Formats: sequence, C-alpha cells, structure tokens
Amino acid sequence: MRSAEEAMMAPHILIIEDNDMSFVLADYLLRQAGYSTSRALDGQAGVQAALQNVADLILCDLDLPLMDGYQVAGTLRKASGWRPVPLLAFTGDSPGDAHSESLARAAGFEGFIFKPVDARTFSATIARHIAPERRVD
Amino acid sequence: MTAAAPSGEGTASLRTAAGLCLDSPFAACIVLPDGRLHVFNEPYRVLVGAHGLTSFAAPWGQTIAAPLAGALTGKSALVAARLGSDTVTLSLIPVRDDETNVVSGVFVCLEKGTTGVGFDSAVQQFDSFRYTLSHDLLSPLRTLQEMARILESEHSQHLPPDASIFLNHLAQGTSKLAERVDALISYVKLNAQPLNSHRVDVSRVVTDVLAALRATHGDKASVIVGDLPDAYADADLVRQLFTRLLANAFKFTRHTAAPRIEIGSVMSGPGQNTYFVVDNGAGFDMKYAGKLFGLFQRMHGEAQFEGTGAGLAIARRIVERHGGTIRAEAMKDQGAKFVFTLPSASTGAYTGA
Repeated sequence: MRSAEEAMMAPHILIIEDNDMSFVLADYLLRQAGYSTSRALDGQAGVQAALQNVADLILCDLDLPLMDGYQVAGTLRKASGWRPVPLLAFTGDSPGDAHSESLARAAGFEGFIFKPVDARTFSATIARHIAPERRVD
Repeated sequence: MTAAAPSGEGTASLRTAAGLCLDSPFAACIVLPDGRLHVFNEPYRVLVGAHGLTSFAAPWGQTIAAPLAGALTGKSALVAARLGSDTVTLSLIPVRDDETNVVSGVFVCLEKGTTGVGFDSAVQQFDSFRYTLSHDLLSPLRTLQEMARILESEHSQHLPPDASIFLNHLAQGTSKLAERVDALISYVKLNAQPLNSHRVDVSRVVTDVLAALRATHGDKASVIVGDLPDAYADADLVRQLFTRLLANAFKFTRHTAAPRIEIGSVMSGPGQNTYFVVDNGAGFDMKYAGKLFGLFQRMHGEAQFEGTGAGLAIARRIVERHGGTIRAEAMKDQGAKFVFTLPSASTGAYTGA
C-alpha cells in the first residue's frame, strides 16, 4: 500500500466508466503503475468530477448512461471552469474503426484506450499522455 | 448522434439497443416511453430530417400513435407511413429490461418502400450479431482473461493449491471461449459479406500462404506445389481458404517423422477447378468425417493438437459461398486429403483470356 503522502503526490487519473469489470481491471493496473485513481459511474457525474480539476488525465468510456462519452468530451471542452488535461476515450470498438475514431476526435478526445486493456502496454500508453513533470517511472 | 440526454434511462438492454442502433447501416432510432428520442443514427437523421429529431411522432402524426403505444406495452409492429412523397416502413421492437421485463424503450428501424426486406437482410443481421458478439461476449471475456492472468502471475503464491487449480481452469476456459467467439465472428462474417470475385492467381496465393506458414512452422515439412489454375473468386477468401487448409496440414504433420504436404489440381468439368491439399500427418478416422466440417468440432485431443475446431467449418463456408464443394479423405495416422472446387477463371469475366 502507498502512503497518503505518496498518493497525494501521485498523478491522478479520473476513470469515467459504468462497467465494473472494465473499471476494476483499469483501476488495478493504474494503481500498480503508481497512479491514484477515482471513478465516476455516468457521464454527468464524470463532468462534475472533471470540473474539480484534480485529475492529471481522464479516461472516459464512450457508452455511458445519462450522458455519453462524446457529450462528456464536448461539455468539458466548452466548460470555462475546466483546466484541460489529456482526455482519452476508453472504447470497446476495435482499433482502426475510422468512424468512431473520427467521432471521438471531433468530440475532443486526444487519444484512445481500447478495451479490453492490454496489461503490458496500458500504463505506458497512459504515461505517454501525461505531462512530463507528472509522470511516474 | 445522441438526442437530448434523458435521465434515469440507463438500463443495460437499452444501452445494448442504443449500440445496435448507432451501428446499424439502416435508419434507426430508440424512442423512450414518453415519446422522446433516446438515440438515433446518421441514416435516421438523413431520412427524417430536422423535424424528426426532437419528437419521434412529429413526422408521422396519427399513423404511428397506436403502434407506438402497442410497442410500449410489449407488442412489435410493422407500419407503413407517408413521409413527404415517400412511403416508409417502420419496424417497432420493444426493448425490455433484462431484470424487470419492463419496456424501457422502442427500437425503430425505418426503410423507404413497403417491403421492409432490408430489416431482415443478412447484412443488418450480421452487423447486429457481430456487434453483440464482440461487445457483449468477446470484450468481457478478454477482460476476464486478463484478470485471471494477473491473478496467476502476481498473486498465485498467496493461493492454496486447490484455488490455483480452479484459477488455472478459469484462465484456460476464458481464453478458449474468447478464441471461439473470435472464430464465430469470422464464420458469421463469411455468411454476410458480398463476394468480390476477380481472376485469382491461385499459385501466387499458395506461395504467399506457404511463406507465412513456414515462418511459424519452420522448414521441416517438404512441400510440393503442382500446377494450380487461376480461379474466378474472392481473393481474400481464397487466401483464407488455403491458409486454413495448409495451417492444418502443417499442424497435423508436426509429430510426423518425414512430413510431406502436397498442393495441386486435377482435371475437372468445365467451369470448375478442382484443387487438393494432402498431407501425411495425423489424419482421422473416416467414421467421424460427417463431423469434420462442423463448427468447433475437433478430431484430436487438445493436448495433442491445439485449436478451436473452426478452421474446416470456415473452409467449407468459403468453398460453398463460391458454389463449390469440399470433401475429405483420411486414414488415422496416415494423413488427410482435402479436395475442393472453385469457379474456373474462364467462367468469369475473363472468358477466352
């Protein structure tokens, strides 16, 4: 277990994901890699959590209740109270699905994490999107 | 393409239906019990135009009221309605919550004309089915697989031996199921994709496939390639066909002392080429020949030869899609021979070439 102090120092990832299984795996891998995490269960809660501006990166499922991932991205990009951080789409679509990729990019996502996550590459992919001074080794 | 986000409508079945709706090549939308649109796809927007995007009923008026009310109480309906100068067929399907069985919305497919044929078309069924297979089956299986792998690699020292055995079965079981779903997706894809037939240089395809298989299986087997006439077929599928058959030949000669694989053709009737792939590997007992081309049928123990048992089912579908036939001859421990037909290049657009 990490100490409270370490956890405060660790880069923070907000995971907006309604599916428990997807969340549990991503959450485990991120904590193993030294990040701290928090979760929102639907799009509206995700926007509220993002507007607290504590996350260094947001991982957002596209198929969410109440407000889908595209709307979450669109809302945040327009919100004056949001300090922009990397926003990654957490998607069950296959890599190379040009239609959903272009939709997600247009909505304001800067990258993709494809489900199910590959434990060997997941945290490295996240690290690439985190600001250099906030990366974990 | 999501309409005004409603609150409290997050049932799993409604979300699955929303996925199907957005993925459908046909105009489709989902209507909530209060008549508002939950989601719609791009073909829907194009078909009904802006006035249909706020209230589902607006473009249709009274025609749709009774069938929609019926669908909300659980009765499917097929309705023909006017939209400007067009007739549009609407198919209304209730979406029930898996747990409570309450209708949480209505899935509506729309198509110009009165036939409604498109709703049942193989392409749409395939798209929906493939979406379900990959999102609702494959993706969770892969997640389970990853979790089992992490448990095994990072936490197995804390588990009592009995628990490790179960974990091992869980890990292997999820991997196998995921492979089967993968194979099923390939198989279903074969049934719905239109054939893109051209003249195919079968010799060239076989050379490429052999090079790729040699890279994984090595040079142990001696391979003889005879004369292979051009076919008039879908090149990708012909490649898949030879890949399946030759991968089997390499696999089932793995334990053979002097493995030998031969690919060739024999004289056959006009319009058809007859090809064969023969090996001197494990073979099988001909009394099981009837099961050989079935999906997930395996002739050997998994400890002996790995695989899902989908390869020959896929091979047969490829041949059948081209109007051909495939049969097998074999003897246990003596090898197997697969003989199949494909349209000859001289029957297609290249007559006389």
